[in-house]
Amino acid sequence: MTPSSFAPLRAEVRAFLEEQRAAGTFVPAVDSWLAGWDEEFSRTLGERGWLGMTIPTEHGGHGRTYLERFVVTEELLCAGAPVAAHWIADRQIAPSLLRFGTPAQREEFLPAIARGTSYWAIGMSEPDSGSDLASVRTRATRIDGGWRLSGTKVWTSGAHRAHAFFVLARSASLDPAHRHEGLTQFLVRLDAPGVQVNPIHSFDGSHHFNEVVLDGVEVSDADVLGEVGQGWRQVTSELKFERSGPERFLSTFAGLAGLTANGLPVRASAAGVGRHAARLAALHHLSYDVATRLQANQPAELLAAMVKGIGTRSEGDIAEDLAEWAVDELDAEVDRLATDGLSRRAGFTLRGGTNEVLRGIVAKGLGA
Amino acid sequence: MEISNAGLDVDPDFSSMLDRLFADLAPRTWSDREPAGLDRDAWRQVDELGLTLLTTPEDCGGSGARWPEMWTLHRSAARHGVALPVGEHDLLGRWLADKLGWTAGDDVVSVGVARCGGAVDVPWGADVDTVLLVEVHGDGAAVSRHASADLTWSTDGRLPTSRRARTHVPGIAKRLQVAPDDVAELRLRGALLRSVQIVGALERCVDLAVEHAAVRVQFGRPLLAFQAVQGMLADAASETALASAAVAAAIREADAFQDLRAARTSVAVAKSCSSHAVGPVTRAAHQVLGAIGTTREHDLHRFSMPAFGWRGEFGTGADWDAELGASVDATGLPAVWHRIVDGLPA
Repeated sequence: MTPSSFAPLRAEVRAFLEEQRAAGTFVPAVDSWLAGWDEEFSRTLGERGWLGMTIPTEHGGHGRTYLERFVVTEELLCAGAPVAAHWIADRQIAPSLLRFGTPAQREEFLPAIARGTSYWAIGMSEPDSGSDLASVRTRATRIDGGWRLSGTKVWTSGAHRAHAFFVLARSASLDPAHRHEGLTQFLVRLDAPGVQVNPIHSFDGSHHFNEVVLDGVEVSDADVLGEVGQGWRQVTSELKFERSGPERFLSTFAGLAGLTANGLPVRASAAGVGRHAARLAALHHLSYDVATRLQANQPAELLAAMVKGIGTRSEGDIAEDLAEWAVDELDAEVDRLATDGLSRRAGFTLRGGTNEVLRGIVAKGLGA
Repeated sequence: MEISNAGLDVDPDFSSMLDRLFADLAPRTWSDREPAGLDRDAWRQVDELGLTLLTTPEDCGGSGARWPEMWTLHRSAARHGVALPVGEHDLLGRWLADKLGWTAGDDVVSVGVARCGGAVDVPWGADVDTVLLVEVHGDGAAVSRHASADLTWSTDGRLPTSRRARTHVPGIAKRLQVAPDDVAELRLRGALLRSVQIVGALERCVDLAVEHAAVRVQFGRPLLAFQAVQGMLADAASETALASAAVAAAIREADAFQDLRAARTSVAVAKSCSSHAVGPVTRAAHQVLGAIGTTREHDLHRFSMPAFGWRGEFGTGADWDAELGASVDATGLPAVWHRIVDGLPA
C-alpha cells in the first residue's frame, strides 16, 4: 500500500468534516482529542464506520487496517474535530480487549465502541506513581468470586463522563526484586458503588483531569482483564499503539491552520511557518512508518518512543509560536486557538509517559 | 542505528554489496594533504561497477537505476565517509551535459551554480575534469563548459574535509541557455542528493557516539549509563530518524512520479529536516566523543563536517522553509499538507 492509495479515504473524511464544520457542528480546536468531548459527534463517526475500524467484523467492528485508522484519525485531528469522547476507547481499550479480553467482555463493549457510544478512561497514574508505573499502590484483595479494589487514581482524563476505565492494581504484595510482578488490570464501571470521581481543574479553567477514589469497589472475576499478575506486561505491550499515533504531533495543527488561513500573520516569517510545516510532514512520515510496522507485526517500540518524544515537543513549539504570532491579530478565533494551545502545552510532553522516560527507552534501544 | 528504508523497495543484496565496497574503499579516499585531489584508482573501481553513472539512462551510457537505488548508494557512501564526487557526476554534471547534448566521454563532471555572476563555488571543482558553470539571471539561466584545469581555483571559505572549490565565471565563454524548469530540477536534484548524504553521515555520527558511550568508562560507569548522555543520544537518534523518514518519503515520490518537480514539496521537506538535524546531531556526537572527536586522528569529523557542508548547498534548511511558508501563505496550510500526506503529484 502506498500513501496515495489512501487519498480517496482521506478525501471522503475531509468532505464530511467540511460539511460538519459548515453546519456548525463543531469549531476547530487545539488539543481536541483530549478536550473536545462531543458524544453526538462520536456517534456520527460511528455511523460512518470510522470508529473501531481495526476491530474485526465478528466483534462489531469494521475489519480495516491500522493504516486506514491512521489516515482517518489524522484527518480528524487536523480538522481540530471533537473526538475526545471516544478517543481512548477507540485507540487503546478496543485493542486491549481484543488481545486480552474474554468473549463476554468483547461482546459487551466492542460493538458499542465501534458505534461511538461506549466511553472510557485509563486508571494508571496515582498520587505517588507517575512515570514510575510499577510503584502503583491501589490494592486488589481477593474476595469470594472476585476482587475488592482500594486506592486512588489521578490524572484520569474524562472519568467524569466515561462509562468505565481500566485500573492497574497491585494484586500481590510488592517484591522489591520483581517490581513488575503482581500487577493486574481490572475493568471498572465508573458508576459502581464505592467509586468517587473528583474533578481536577486545569489552570485555564478546563476540566478533563479527575481523581478517582476506589473505596472498596467490588468487581467480579469476569472483570479481570487478561491474566492475574500479568498487568505490567499487558500495559507495556500496548504502549506502542498509544505512543506513535498522530495525536502526538498534531495537537496544535488546527491552530497553525487557523492562524495562517488568511495568509501568514504579520509577525510570522515564511521560514518560521515553513519550518513547522516541514517538521510536521516528517513526523507524519515517521508515524506512518510505525503504523506500517504495527500492521506487519514488526517491532516498533523504539520508533514509537521517538515519535512521541520529538512529536510532542514540536506541537508545543508550535503552540509557543502561535501565541507570539497572535499578538495584535485581534481576532477572537485566532486568540482562542493561540491561548488554548499555550495553556495545554505543558501537558503535551507529560501525558502517556514523560519525554525523559522516553529518552531512556530510546537510549536503551540504541545501546542494545 | 537500525537502517530503515521506510517502505522503499531496496534490494538488500545491492545494499550489502555497497556497504562492503565502501567500508573497504572509504579510507583510501581520505587524505589530509592539501590539495587532496581525487583518488582516480578508487574512482575507477566504483566506475567499473557502473556506480558513477547509476541513475544516468542506459542510452546515455549509464546504469539506468532509479531513485531508491540512488538513496541506497549515496546514503551508504556518506555513512562510510567515501570522498568521491559520484553524486555530482551522475545526478548533476552528466544529467545537465546530456540535457544540453554535450558529450563528456570519460570525464568526471561537476556543476557550480553562480548566484549573480562573479564567484561560484563548485563541489570537487578543482579535482574533476569538466566543470559546468550555471549563471542564473532573471527567469532563465546560461551554462558554460570548462576544463577544470583552465580555471583558477581557491579554497576560500571551505570547511575541513570539503573538496568544494571557488572560481570565477570567465567573462568570455560560450554559453547555452537553460530552461527555467531545468534549473529548478537541477536544484531539486542537488537538494535531494545532499539530503540523502546528510542522513548517511548523521547515522554514522550517532553510531560513533553510541559506540563510544558504551565503552568509555568515567566515574566507574560507561557514559551510556548517565541520564544526561542518554538524553543527548536519544535526541540525536530521533532527529536522525526524523530526517531519514522525510528523505525516504521524497525518494518514494520522486520514484513514483517520474518527475522530480512534481515531488518538490517533499524534496523541500526533506532538505529542511535533514539540514536542521545537522546542528543538533553533530553537536551531541561531538559532545559525547569529547576531545578525541576534535582531532584529525579520530574519524568523527569525516562525517560531521561534510554534513555541515551539505547543509548549506542547494538551499539551506531556512531557504526551503521559506518556500514552504510562501506556499502556506498562498494556498493555506491544508492545501500544502494534503499534497504531502496524499502522496500525489503536485
